[in-house]
Amino acid sequence: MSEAVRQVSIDPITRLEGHGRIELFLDESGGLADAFFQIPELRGFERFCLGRQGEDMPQITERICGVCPEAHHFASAKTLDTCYGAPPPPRARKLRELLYNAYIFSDHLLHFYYLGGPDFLVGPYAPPQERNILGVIGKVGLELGKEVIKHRGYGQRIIEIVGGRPIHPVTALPGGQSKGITEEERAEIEAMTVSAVEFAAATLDVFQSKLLEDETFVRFASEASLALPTYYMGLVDEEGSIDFYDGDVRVVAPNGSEYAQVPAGGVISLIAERTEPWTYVKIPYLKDVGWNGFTAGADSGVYRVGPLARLNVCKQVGTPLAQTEYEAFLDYFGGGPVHATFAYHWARLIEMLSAAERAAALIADPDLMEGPLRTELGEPGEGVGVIEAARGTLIHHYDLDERGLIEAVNLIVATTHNVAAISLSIKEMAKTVVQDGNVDQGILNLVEMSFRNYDPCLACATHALPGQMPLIVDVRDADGDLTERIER
Amino acid sequence: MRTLIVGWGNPIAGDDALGWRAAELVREHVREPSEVEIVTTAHGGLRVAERMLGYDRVVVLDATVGPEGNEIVRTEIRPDEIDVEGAPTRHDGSLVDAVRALRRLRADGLPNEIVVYGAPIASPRDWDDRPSASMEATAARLARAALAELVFGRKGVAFA
Repeated sequence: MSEAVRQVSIDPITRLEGHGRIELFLDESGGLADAFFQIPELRGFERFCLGRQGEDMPQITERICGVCPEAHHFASAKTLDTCYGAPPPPRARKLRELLYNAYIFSDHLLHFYYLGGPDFLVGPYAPPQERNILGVIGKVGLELGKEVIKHRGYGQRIIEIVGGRPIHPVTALPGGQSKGITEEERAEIEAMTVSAVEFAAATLDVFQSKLLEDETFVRFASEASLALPTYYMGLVDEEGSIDFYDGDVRVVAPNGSEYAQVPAGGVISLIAERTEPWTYVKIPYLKDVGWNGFTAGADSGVYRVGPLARLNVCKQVGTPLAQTEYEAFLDYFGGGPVHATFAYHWARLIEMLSAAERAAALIADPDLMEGPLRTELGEPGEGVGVIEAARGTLIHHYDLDERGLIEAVNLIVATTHNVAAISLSIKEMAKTVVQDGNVDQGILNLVEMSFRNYDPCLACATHALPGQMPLIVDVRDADGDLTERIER
Repeated sequence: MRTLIVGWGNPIAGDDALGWRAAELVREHVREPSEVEIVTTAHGGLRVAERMLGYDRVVVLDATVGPEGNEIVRTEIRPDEIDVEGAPTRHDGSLVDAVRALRRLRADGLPNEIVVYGAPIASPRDWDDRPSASMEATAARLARAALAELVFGRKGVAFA
């Protein structure tokens, strides 16, 4: 970085779970020199876990994140399943899948209406105090807003019934589940899933009528410079359909060809991690493609995960209503893989519908109500568990000693996979809007919008942001002196 | 009056366990059956706000980061005042917004009274389930504040 570069910091990032920081480096002429996405996470999780009972990990790791504890709970349980060589019996597996699809539905709902959606439903240039759920309510109407609350409640209720507690599930154990559900609970869930399917479909109607008619969204979704031709990673089932809970890890190249498909445990062999001096986060990349810096394309090991990636790696979605929406999605973009980063929003809602449909199908499955809940455990050892968190592929990797104590642990969380791509997206957006050193709140929100596509979850660090969500922008000259501060 | 005590914090993030621990201390003083329910959570603000529905009164116990000092701060989030300023919680920034949104949406069961008691901690840097030596004493003070709130309402802060 030359001396003639000045730095703009956006810190903290608003409407993002956790605490992140964007660094924009401007050159002497006021144009963008570079951009990086930082995660100031808590350190030493691997050390913290050493010597603990492996079976405690589903409860420990779900505390990592205040937003997606269900993902860590089941990723951990799946890892222990493999550590003990104890795949859950069908009833337990389907109970897990039921809860997990309720989580995906609820989390995606949260993003569209509370976090990422306001950028477009209210508008990127709207005052920050209006660019939130309250502004969304003004656009979509109070009745739909009440449906948002109701269906968030349904998601939480299903998690409570199957997970054993309204807050932080406790039912996943190595080799299965600790309890089933009653017929009364099954009937209650069934009614909620029917409603969830209808609500998800209605939300896609909102997307079609609001975002696809929104000039800004359409421009960002079609702007070639904002598309990133990267590799994509996600889980698929034996038919090649999206599978949030289990399956093979499939990776496709920027041209859509299959780069790899491996059993979940083999994902570790596909990726390597590198460190950068400006972040504690280890940045993963495809090992055999190699690290060629923060670039996209077939020669760069940078890959993406999450809703858009899952739609790009699957051969079909796997549920009928969502499949129809998926085909419309592909038609809109002229076929796959879709590289438009702003397409994450659309992909997320297609997944929301699919998750609701899957939950509705699972609750009607007779396997859910009878049969064993656990498999007998084998001897402890090493295991890898992979699951699709709402934000993307989540990997837990443990090594247990002969007493079942943790000897080694490594977690690769969804947002970590995306860090390199997020940095690239920020840079591309900033290039289009930061000129002549002109930085104001509207422009900064456009830059923030570029990472909100990914729904990054920095809560895997501290789930901490001050209650007032201040946004402070410091503008420094080439000597590092503060020349301007923008606050809200 | 159906009351919910929320111990909010992360028990594996050092002193961020403060609110969680204080709620556990409150639980020792509440006999079952009771109209007072106590939960501990590391969830984000939106889920916490949704968890409040159906109660008449909610008391949130939480850690705060800055300003310096060891004073316990009591803040009311008044659902009937839409333009309320943010409460001094250090969680994902959405609790106040979520309460406001629930209010605007006329959500059924929004509590009439939401009180946040916050006590300052140093921002955690490492994963750790062993809080600092001083945190237990602060948690005890926070628990006393919550108990006083239960008994005396707003005047309870004088007994903290």
